[in-house]
Amino acid sequence: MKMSLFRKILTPNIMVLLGPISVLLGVIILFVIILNNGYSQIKTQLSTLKTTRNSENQLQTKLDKLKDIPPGILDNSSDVIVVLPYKNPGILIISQMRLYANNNSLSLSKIELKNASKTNDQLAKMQLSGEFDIPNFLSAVNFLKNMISSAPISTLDELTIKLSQAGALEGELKTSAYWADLPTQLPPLNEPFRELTKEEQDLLTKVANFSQPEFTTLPPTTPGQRENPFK
Amino acid sequence: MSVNLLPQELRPKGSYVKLSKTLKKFALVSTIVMLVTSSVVLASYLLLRYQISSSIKKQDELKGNIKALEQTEQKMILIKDRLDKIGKIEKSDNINKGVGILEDVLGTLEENVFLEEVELKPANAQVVIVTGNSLELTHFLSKLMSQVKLVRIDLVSLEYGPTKGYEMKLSLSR
Repeated sequence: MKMSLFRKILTPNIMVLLGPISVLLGVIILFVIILNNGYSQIKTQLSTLKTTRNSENQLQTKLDKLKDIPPGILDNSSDVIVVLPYKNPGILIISQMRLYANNNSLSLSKIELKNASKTNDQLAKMQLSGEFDIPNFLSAVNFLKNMISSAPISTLDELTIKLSQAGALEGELKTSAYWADLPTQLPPLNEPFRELTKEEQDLLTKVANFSQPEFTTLPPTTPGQRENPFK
Repeated sequence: MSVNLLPQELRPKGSYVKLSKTLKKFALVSTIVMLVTSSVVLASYLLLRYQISSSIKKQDELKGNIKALEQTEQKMILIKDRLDKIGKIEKSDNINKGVGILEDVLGTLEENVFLEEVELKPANAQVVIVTGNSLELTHFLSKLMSQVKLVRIDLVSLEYGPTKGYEMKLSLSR
């Protein structure tokens, strides 16, 4: 019974088509599988290549920019540290204030440091105020101009100059001294390198010309014998 | 001479044999196309793999070169960090403009016109001018307006006393 059903379906006409149809179907299925997998693999590889090429270009640009930095700019790295130090520069500013007061014939009568605080811009700030006897207004202007262009950086917040009862000019100046922590880590290697903008270059030139405080280096002394160890 | 011993009903019809031959040709062509496509896909895949690996190799080389310039980068990061903060300090309220105004006002003073008091604040500069007569006062004001670059001049007060003369308080902003 079964044999006769097979014979009915698998007639010689069908049998002659069965071979090529099965081969054709097999090829089509294989073709679809290869195309599908191949396409997705190539797509993945293309996107990986794009990413790696981008990173490569970024690194190349960064390297080129690092090699192209003019040496003059790098020499200013110590100047900017003096202009904006990482420790409270109050004493240095007082020393600068005294120096410029002397140079401009001002006599410093009182000086005060107070209110150390942190600002929102990762800066620390301290207020300084000084009282002066001033010979004339021109000396006061020259003194202020010296203060504006001196390192460490300070801002002049308020100034009052008045005639005293005795007829002499007296001034009171309020300034702020600033300092900030140093950056502690380098950005990731593949992060793009940002060059100095025109404004930053101008600012660098300006602060590099600020008059620097005078530091005294004590010469090393040779150890000697103390005759009286209690003195 | 071939002799067909199969019964006639077991032989496929001529049209089916023809169709079978066509299908065989199709199968052959499809196989060739599939083999060519597979080769192209495989070659592209291998080429891309090669390009990726050489790009990664180049990246490693570049990273090494950048590492060698670490000191330069450190200095630049430091300079940028300081400049960024110095820029913020420079933009904060200060009397730098006021110092310029005071210098210019001093330049406009004449023989019998005196500057008696100065108060510099971030918003403005206040000066007290004393002079013996009103003519000199007028002359000073016209000189101030023409020679000093100012955005605004406010007369805060004007007093007269027989011994002191005219005392004028001005608020100046640039």
